[in-house]
Amino acid sequence: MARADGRDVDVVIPAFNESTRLPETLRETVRFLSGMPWRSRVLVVDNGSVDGTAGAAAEIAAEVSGAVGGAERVAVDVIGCSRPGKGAAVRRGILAGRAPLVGFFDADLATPLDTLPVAIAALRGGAAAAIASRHVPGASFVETQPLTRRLGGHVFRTLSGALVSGVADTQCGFKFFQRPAVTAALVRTRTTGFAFDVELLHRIQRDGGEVVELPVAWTDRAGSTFHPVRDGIASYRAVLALHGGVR
Amino acid sequence: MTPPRSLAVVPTTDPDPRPQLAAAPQGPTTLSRLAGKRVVVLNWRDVHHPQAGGAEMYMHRIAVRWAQAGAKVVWLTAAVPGRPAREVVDGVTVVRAGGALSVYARTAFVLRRMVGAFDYLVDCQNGIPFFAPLFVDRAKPVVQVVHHIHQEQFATRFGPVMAAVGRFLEGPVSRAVYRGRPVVAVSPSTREGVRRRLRMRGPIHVVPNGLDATPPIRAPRDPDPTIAVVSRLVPHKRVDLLLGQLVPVAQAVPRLRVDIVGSGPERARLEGLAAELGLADVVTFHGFQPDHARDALLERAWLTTSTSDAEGWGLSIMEAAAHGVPTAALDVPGVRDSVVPGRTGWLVPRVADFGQALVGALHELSDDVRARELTEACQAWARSFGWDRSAELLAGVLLGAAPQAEQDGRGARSDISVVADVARPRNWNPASWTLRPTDQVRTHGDRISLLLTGCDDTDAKVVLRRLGVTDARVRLADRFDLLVGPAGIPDAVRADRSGSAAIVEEAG
Repeated sequence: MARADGRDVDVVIPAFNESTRLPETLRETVRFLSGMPWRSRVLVVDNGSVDGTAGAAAEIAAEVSGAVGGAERVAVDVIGCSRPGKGAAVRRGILAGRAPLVGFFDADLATPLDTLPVAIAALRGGAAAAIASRHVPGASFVETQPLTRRLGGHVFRTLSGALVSGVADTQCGFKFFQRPAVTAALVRTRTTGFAFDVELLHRIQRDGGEVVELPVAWTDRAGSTFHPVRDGIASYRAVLALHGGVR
Repeated sequence: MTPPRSLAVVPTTDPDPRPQLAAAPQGPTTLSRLAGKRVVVLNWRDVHHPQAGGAEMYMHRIAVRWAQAGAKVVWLTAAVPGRPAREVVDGVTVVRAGGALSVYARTAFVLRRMVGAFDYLVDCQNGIPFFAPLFVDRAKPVVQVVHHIHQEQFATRFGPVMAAVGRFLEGPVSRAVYRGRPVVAVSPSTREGVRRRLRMRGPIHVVPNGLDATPPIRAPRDPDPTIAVVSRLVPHKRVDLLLGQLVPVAQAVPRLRVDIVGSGPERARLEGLAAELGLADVVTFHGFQPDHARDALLERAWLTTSTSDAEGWGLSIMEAAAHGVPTAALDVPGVRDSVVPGRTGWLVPRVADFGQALVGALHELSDDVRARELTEACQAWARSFGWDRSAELLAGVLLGAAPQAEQDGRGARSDISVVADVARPRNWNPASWTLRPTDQVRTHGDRISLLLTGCDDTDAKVVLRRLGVTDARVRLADRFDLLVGPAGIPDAVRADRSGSAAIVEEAG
């Protein structure tokens, strides 16, 4: 997928069984990106969907490249990743790109797209990573999360706090990076599950990179694949395993 | 081996044209690897059962081809009054015992005694599978065939308790019994249901239905705008939804005629509904019609419709397409696999928009040139589905189901597939490439197309590099790739993208 076509920003969207909402997300993203003063590429990573996600994404990609001057500012490509896990899909997408700035966000657009120019500005200002955060001053939940979910999140943040310093929210699905910094971290990263973000940020910080948190107005979207008990326990275990030592 | 007998009278189906074996296949086909193998097919009915339907026809068409390729096929099924307990039908040995429910227990008993007496087993699921893995040796390849998901249908046929039992058997029990064994789904929609509703964990392969024969030329269509619907009149076909949408269509389209061919328990209610809606002059209920009369009505039509709530595969849509008739359909599982939107018909997301879509479709079809274009696309689409290919594909799944046949380093989520297009190497022959039996290869001129299943684009490049290919163009497969394979959608059907660019322009 190496395409040295002079893009400034690669946007990775990992997608697992997202054929219903992905088309609208892609249209909205392309619309937004074409209004930005940089050239970007959207890279959809189909993480082994069974519902025609890749086909739906390819249709939008064809629409975009068919539009007059469409692919000039924004290109859309679709690749696959059969390894399960959002971390695996994000890694595949980031490593496949070539733009100097790269990042990912979730297909549900829970983080507003307006966050993107802020993140790009932070990266151009020298940050290695600019990540959306639901837990810094200025952030808000558009709808309040249930108590159990908040409690679980609190435990997770406490556990991961020792690994990633000064970052209140490691788990928000919106993160952008300087390519050299994220590549250096990714090639060493071994987790692909819920601790993926924690390990990634931990490695970037350990390498001397600055992680900047951007407050966002977060919307909880239906259709989350996060299962509070099963995945909650799995994510605690993954983070505890990281405490055992990141090599 | 007993010589194949001709197929006796089977209601509602055409006789199968003999598979053409005139041209010897180049190199060993997947099918030929079944020669001399013993294959057991489990199906609650056989093709001579009075209630045999599309599922039985599917397996029969395929089994006949396996038998012709030299496999010894034994089909275990329920007893049929007036037919012997054992007979050879088109080269397939049919063994009958038990009734609609006891056939399951009897088959289990037979399988127990058959230890080692077969090489491959096909377990045809009709809501409830035979749970063959419980009764055969662990190492025996067992492939489950699923036409559609019955989870909701149980409730329409049984009381709440039996329906719950049915859902439990089709879902959690099957999942535990079949574990990682391969499943064959007849369409991408069914595959999605098997993965997401039944939550089966093994690889799921798409082996589509064939179509018996494409009639060569259409009779001239009716000068008046005509819709023909061939359907059993049962609740889940939802012909009532069509009637409800017809009132504004009849107002907007003068001289509209709607022919409904088929019978069933809903007929009286539907006729009453048509009268209440004031559509008695527009809609004609023809009842059950013999094949030639049904085809004659279909051939005169401009359009057919589907308002079904879900299908495993849109058989009647494909039969209409074979006659050159496009379809306007509600966008539901199974149906969306059978219609190529904008090329062989229209897919409508919402019921409330269906009438308007019909008006639009009939208007588009009033242009003779456009109508001819759609007719050609429909027939080309129908010709993409042949039983020979289905027999090949299912044979590939059997061969690939052998326990030693896995492990070549491909990734974990098996639903991802890629289409690769590569230059044909000099002196290439199919045997020189080691691929999985489920991989599909097609040569055309100096190019080779491949459909590699259970494989993402990165893995595919690794696989191809190992075969000495470095110039591969690789992309992820979509639902139509899974259906028609590496041959691709025929040119006459290929979607014209020029019309869709507007969405982005307007957005930008």
